[in-house]
Amino acid sequence: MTTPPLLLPFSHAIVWVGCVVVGFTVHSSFGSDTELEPRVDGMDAAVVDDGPLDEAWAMAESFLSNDANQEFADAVDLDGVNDRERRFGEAMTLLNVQPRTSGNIERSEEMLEELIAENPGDDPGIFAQFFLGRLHQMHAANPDLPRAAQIYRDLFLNHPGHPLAEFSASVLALATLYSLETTPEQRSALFDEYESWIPRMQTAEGRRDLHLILGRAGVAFGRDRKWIIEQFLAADAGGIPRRQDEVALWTQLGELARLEGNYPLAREYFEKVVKTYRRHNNYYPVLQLLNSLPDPDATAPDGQSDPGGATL
Amino acid sequence: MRERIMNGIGFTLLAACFVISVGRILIYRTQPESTADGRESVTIRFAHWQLESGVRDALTALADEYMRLNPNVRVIQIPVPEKIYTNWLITQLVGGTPPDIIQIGIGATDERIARFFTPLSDLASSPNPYNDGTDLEGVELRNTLFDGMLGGYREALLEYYGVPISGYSIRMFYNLDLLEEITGSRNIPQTYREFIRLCEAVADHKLDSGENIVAIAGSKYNAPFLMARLFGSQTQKLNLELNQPGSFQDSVVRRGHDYLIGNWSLDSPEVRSGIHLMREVGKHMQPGFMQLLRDDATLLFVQGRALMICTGSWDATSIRQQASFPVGVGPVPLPSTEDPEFGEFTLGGITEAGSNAGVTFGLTKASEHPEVARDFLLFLASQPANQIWTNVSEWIPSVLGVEVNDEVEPFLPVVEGFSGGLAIAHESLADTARVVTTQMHVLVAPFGSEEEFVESIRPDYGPSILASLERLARTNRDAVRRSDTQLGATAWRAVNDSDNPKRRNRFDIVRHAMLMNDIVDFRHEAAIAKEPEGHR
Repeated sequence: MTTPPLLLPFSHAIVWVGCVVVGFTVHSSFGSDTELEPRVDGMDAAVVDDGPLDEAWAMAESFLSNDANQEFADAVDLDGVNDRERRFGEAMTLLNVQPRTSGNIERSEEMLEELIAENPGDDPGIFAQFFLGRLHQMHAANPDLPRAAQIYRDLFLNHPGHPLAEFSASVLALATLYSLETTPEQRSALFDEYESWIPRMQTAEGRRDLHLILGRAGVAFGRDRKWIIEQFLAADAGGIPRRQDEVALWTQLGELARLEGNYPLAREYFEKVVKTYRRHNNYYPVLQLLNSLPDPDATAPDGQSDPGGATL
Repeated sequence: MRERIMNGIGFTLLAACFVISVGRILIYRTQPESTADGRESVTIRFAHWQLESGVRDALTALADEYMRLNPNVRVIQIPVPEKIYTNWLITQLVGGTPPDIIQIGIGATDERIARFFTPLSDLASSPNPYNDGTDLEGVELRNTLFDGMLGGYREALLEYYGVPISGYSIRMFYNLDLLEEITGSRNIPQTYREFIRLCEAVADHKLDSGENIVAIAGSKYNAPFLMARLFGSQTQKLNLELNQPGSFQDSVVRRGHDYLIGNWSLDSPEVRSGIHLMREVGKHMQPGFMQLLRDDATLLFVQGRALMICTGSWDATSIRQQASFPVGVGPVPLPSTEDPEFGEFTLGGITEAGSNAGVTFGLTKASEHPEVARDFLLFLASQPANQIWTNVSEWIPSVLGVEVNDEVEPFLPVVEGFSGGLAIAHESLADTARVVTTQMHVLVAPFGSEEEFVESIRPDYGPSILASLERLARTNRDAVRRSDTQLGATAWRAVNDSDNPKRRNRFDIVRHAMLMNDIVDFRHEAAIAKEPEGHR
């Protein structure tokens, strides 16, 4: 069937009008200026942009390892980029590029070792050492804890005062104290050695973390209760950054003090829990323990402490 | 010739239409819609999966109220069925066409949240202007919510990404007409003893009247709510004995490990007592309930063929609307410490203090009107709006100071009590849960027994715990590895901008989280390494 000539222009026009209307509808429904892949630019609104790699760091901070790794790799020709910083970012994010491959881990190891060989004393060098330790501890197909431990130890001892180097002391302490390969005798010696490191630490956060790890490991492996309380008190003095960890520490401190017969200390920490965490699961049990304490100024009779175990 | 003229006219018309259309598009894109008073009009859309009765009405009421307060804003609600929510979410986010506001939960992984949603931490730490004139005026938003806004906090990302507007709890629902018919009273049982006597009265009534009724409507969705609490009441003291001093929570990994090294067993008196309690109650559900779905149990209850059902506060409005009888609500009845049969091992009630708020809405980065959307979120989380929410939906409010009506009051979280004890089939131990669930019929069948149930699960119980722990260990190790990228980035930014307190604070939180995660990693390693003979 052919279209009558008279209707042809109208049929053309109708088709075009239809197309335009559909196009208009679709356009206005979906908008034209939405980005398919929104930038990760809302992470840290209060933080000023501090360099050409800031976008890549923001992505890494948001667990977007593949995107961040690509950003670092692509920044190789950008003006004003610190190449050692860029290479460290690329190596570090490579550890978590998905899918995880042994090739990526090996490439990351090579890049980190290159950075260390070039200069172990600047920030990229120190960060590279820390993440080489993490690579051998957590990321390698065959983890090598002794090698990781040696890296953390050297990092701490060789770079006093550096925040990441001091943090590596806590990572080392945790890894070696909790390791299933560590014998009780070795563990006892390690407790003493790590405790002796604390006075030489220069950052409050570093001291707090190591006190906390020593205390936690002390509970796990049955160290003396008074010693554990000292570690926890020192950690608490440094301020516990997460609320769930703070309430756990305060509760445990109060209970250890109660078991030790140090009722004033137990009362102090139980009251902190009750006053601060009314909506927490610990609130009611701690309130019961608080109410069960003897008079505020009393101490355990004859200096005897509770043999242990919850007595609710 | 005539045909050419006609075609020329046609093309001219066509060109005119095209030009007009383009012109209109340009006008539409460049000139904002205006309201009667001449102000710019904007439209924001919000999506959710809460299709329960009353909830959509409540959200509509909230949208209407917001539009009344802001006549230049049009708010459109997009309800999406729960079954397709994840696929819908991914399609919208990746396609770049998401609504301004989306309910966060199903399908919202940390990566998707980080990539497609806007952090709301600045909102959380600022007063909510919609609370002006209330007792919450000037209070930081997060401190105006009963959970401190934790329902909207993403721990891994260290940011608030959502505003939760509701709470929830698990309760027993009663058919009050049937209750009166059986007992002569509408009094809901307050103790376990009263509850079990009621169950027995239903069985007697069934025999006497010939009515096809059961005491409790069960299903594989509903029954675990009840069974887990009953069993957990019997292992509260055991949990404390197994925990480190000063630790009151149940830990799945620790308890699994404890089982594998023999610190508790299926023969422990607390465990046997919990199993006995589950049988006592389970035999009052309809036969074969573990093969039935949520809707089957709800139907049985609303049809008046079951006196009770145990479910969440989120089902309350639907149940009330479907039921032709008045519905009563009460706590899940647990044995007290004075109970002659089940009091020995319990610490009493189970606390609901730690529960977070839900129905959490987040702001998408693709929002064309982020400031308006943020304002709408603030409105949703305000005391006046939350009052509308609870009044219409009859769900628990998340904002402090909101008054609840008599229908909502029984659902308010119970703060008193201890955490539940160790579970016989924790949902995180998937293999173990499967072993227990598949044999549950042996426990609750009329001719079943606790002994038969224990022997039926015993061969697979230890290996299933080990298999589950191994899976959890792998998952945890992956999480620990992933976090290293975040640690590296926050540490780098903090060290290279050491005068910036926000960056130092972020690094402080991340490093602390990493240490805690590493401890968990070693705990997993210890749990799966120290298994006794025979569990592999």
